Amino acid sequence: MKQAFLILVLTFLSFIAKAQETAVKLGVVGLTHGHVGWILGRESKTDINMVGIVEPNKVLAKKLSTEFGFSMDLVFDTMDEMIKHVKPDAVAAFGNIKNHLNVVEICAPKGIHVMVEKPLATTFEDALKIQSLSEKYKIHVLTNYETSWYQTNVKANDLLNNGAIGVLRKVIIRDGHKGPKKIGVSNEFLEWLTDPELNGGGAITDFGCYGAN
Amino acid sequence: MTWINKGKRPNSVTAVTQQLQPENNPNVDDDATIILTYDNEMAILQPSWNWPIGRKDMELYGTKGAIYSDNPTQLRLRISKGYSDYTEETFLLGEREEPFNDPFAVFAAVITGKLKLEPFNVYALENNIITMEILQAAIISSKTKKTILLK
Repeated sequence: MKQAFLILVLTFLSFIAKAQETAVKLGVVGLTHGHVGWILGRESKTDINMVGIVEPNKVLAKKLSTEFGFSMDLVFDTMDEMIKHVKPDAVAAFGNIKNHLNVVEICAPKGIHVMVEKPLATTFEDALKIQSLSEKYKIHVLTNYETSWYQTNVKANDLLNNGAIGVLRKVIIRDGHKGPKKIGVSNEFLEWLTDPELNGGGAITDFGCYGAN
Repeated sequence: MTWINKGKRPNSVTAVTQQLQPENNPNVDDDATIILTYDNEMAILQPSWNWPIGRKDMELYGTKGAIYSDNPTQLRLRISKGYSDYTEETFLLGEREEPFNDPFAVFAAVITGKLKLEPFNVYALENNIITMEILQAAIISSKTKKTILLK
């Protein structure tokens, strides 16, 4: 009986180990984005796990390592170093929006998939470059929006498609808040979020993308 | 809009921007209104850093009624009765089903091939190329004070 139980426990443990092995290895590029807590605070799961971080600002990295409990051994200065050491299958970009193209330029030729925080890029031209790299090297490039997790939006679209309100005529989409300064975003985040070069614009890009998508 | 319209691009983009908090956002706009026209419908987008209460909501108006997606969990459906009367039904919803309740789970499922996104899904590159085309046109429109026609 004891033996059977032991075998069961060992089988379960080896199953867990296997699941960990097959989990997608994720690198995080940049820690300045206010949404980075979504990945840093994510429980260890069997589908995808964080294996490395790129952040040259060590003060910021140290602060977040204390807050979220990741090891500073995971933190590298450059994407090349991180990729060489931890060999990620995928990266998630949590830096400024202008840097998204740079992330794709480095990752695409290595076959590393990319997910960026919305919006995709700062300009249409950069977006087209990202698209051509994605097609050439056959990598996925996803854009993450908070509203894509809203069940209400899915339900709204379903009701519309089922003809609940007849033929669509007018859509009003409102997004935003009091402003980055007033809601107290971190200095590292504020610095690029209110820079037209690094963010592509102000509210028009930061929240316009939620409606345009 | 690109998702709701299954990847259809707008015919025109018109935008007006202002800077209402110059002390906080000296180099960028902090309030915008973007008007999109399509063959049989239009959309008004109101991205702003001047909403007193944080929001991400949507209103859909059809020929027979309206859908109000108030927040992540509350949706109201109104069906027209006569001139200004209506019936209203409120839906209180939970989280999206896995993997859609977690963007990293979606990312993993796409990479491993367990999930194939439709090209007009909000995560998808095809959608976001159109989104960027709209945003770029909106920025040009706000600077030139002209409506931009998308060919």
